Amino acid sequence: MTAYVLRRILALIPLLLAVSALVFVALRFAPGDPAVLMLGQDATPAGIAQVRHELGLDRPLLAQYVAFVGGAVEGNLGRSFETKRPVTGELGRTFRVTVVLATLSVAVATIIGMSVGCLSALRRYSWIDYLARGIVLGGVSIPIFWLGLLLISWFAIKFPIFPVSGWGTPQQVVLPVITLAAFPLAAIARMTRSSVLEVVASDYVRTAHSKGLGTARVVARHVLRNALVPVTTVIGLQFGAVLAGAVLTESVFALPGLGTLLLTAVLARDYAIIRGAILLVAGVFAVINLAVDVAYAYLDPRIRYA
Amino acid sequence: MRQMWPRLRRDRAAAAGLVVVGLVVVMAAVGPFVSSLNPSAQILAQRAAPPGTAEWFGRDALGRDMLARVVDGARFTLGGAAVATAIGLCIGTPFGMLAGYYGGWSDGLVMRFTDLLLAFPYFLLAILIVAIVGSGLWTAAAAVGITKMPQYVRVVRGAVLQVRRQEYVEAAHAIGASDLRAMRQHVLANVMAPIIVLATVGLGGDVLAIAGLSFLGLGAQPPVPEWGLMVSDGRNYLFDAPHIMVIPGVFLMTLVLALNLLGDGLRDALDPRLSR
Repeated sequence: MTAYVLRRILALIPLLLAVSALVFVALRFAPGDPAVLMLGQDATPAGIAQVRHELGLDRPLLAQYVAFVGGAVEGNLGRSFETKRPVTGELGRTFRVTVVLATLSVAVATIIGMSVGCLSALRRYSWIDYLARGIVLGGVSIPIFWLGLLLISWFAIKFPIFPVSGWGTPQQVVLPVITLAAFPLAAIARMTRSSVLEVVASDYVRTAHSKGLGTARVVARHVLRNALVPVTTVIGLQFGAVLAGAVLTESVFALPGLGTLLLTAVLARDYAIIRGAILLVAGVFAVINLAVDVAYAYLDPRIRYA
Repeated sequence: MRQMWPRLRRDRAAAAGLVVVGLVVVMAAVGPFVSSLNPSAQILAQRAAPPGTAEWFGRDALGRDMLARVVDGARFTLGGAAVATAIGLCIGTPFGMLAGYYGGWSDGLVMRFTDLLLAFPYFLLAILIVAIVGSGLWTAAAAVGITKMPQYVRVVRGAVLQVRRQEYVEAAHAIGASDLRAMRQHVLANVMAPIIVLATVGLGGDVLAIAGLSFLGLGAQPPVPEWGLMVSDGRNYLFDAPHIMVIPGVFLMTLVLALNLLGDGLRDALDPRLSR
C-alpha cells in the first residue's frame, strides 16, 4: 500500500510537467504579445524589446519553459500583466476563499446526498423515493448560475435573510454553498441510491437478514459499508465539478475567489494569471484523484494495488 | 437497435423528455419564421415591462419582447449543443477506433493525450480554450466539444477492443477487406449503440456548459439571445424586474431536464449494461 501511494505520488511529477507544458505552449500561441499586453497600446518598440528581454521572451521556447518550471518549483510563477503583483500571492489570496467554498459544498452535498440516496433506495417506490428522484433530476438539470440568482432574489431581496453578495461573515457563505452543492448533491444521491439498491439485492444481505439481524444493523454493518465504495469515487469526482462550478458561483455572488481571479484574467488576457490558476487547479485535481484511489483501496479490502 | 423504439415508448419519463425536446426543436426551426414577433425591436417606453397580457413574458431592460427573444434564442442554445456534440464525436470516435483497433504505440499515444485532457476539470479546460481562441458562441461550443472528446475516445476504444477479435471481423479480413473497410463496415456498426448513448446523455451537460460560458461573458455575445446570456442580462435587474432573469432560466432548465430524461431513457433502451 505504501509503495503504491509513493509510486502514485511520483507519477504526479510527469503528469504535472505534461500539463504545464501543454498550458505553457497553448498560451504562447494565443493572440497578443505579452510585452504589448503588459505595456498597453502606446508602448515604444524599445520599451517592448526591453520587456521582452526581461520576460525572457527573446529566448527559445524550450529555454523559456525550463525557466518557467524552475521558477514554479521555487514558488515563483511570474507577475500579473495587469496588476504587476506576483502571481503566487494572487493565487494564495483567492484560493483560500475557493477552498472554503468548495470543501463546505462537497461536505454538505455528501451528507445530504448520501442520506437522500439511502432513504430513496431503502424505501423504493414510496413517495420518499419519488421525491428523492425528483431532487436528483432537478439538481443535475438546473443551471447553477440561475439557481444562485433565484436564491438571491428570494432569500436576499424578497425575504432579506442573507446578504446579496460578499465574503467574510458566516451568513455570506450560506447561499453560495447551497448553489454550489446542488449538482454534487444530486450526483452523490443518485450514485448512493443505485449502489445501495445493488447491495440490498446481494446474497450476503439476505443471509444477514435470515440469521436474524435487525434491519438497522443490516443497513449499518452490511449495506452501507459496501455501498460506500463506489460512492467515494463519485464524491472525489465532484471536487472537480465543484472547482469548475466555483467560477460560476463566485461570479454570481461576487466572491473574491480563484474563479473570479481566473475570469477577470481571461477577460483581460492576463496570461500569467491564467497559466498559474489553471496549473494550480490541475495540481489540486490530480492530488484529489490520487486521494480517491487510495481511499478506494482502504474502504474495499478486495482492491489491492500490487 | 431495433428494440429501441418500443422500449423508449414504454418509458414515460423518456417519452415526455422527447416531446419537450421536440417542441424546442420546432421552436428553433420554425419559430422565427412563423411568429410575427420581432426579437430585436425595442420599445423604450416599456423597458423591463413585467409579464402580462400585452407581452406574455414582458420586456427586457432594453424594451425587447422576451417571448420573441426566447423563441429566437432556442436555435443558438440547441445549435451550440449540436456543435459541441459533433466535435466531441467526430474527433473522439476515429481516435478511439485507432487506439482500440491497432493498440501498441498508437494506443499509448492517444490514451496519454486523453489522460492529459482529463487532468483538468472539464469546464476549466473549456475556459482555457476560450481564453486562447477568443470568446463567442461557436468557439465556446467547440471548446466544450473538445473537453468531451476523451469520453468518446475511451468508450469507443473499449467497445472496439471487445469487437476486434470477433470472428466476423476476422472473416471480413479473410475475404480481403482492408483495415479501413473492416473498421467502417463491421467495427463501427457494432460500437454505434454506446456512441449514441454517450452523445445523448451528454447533451444536457453540454447545454449547461455553453450557457455557463455565455453567462460568464465567454460565450455568445450581445445581442445574440442565447438563454445563458439572457439570464446574465437580468442580473442587474433582480430588484425591479426579476422576470428578465427568471424566464430564460425556466426555458434552459426545462430543456436540460428533458434532455436528461431522454438521455437516461435512451441509455436504458439501447444498452441495458450501461444503466445504473
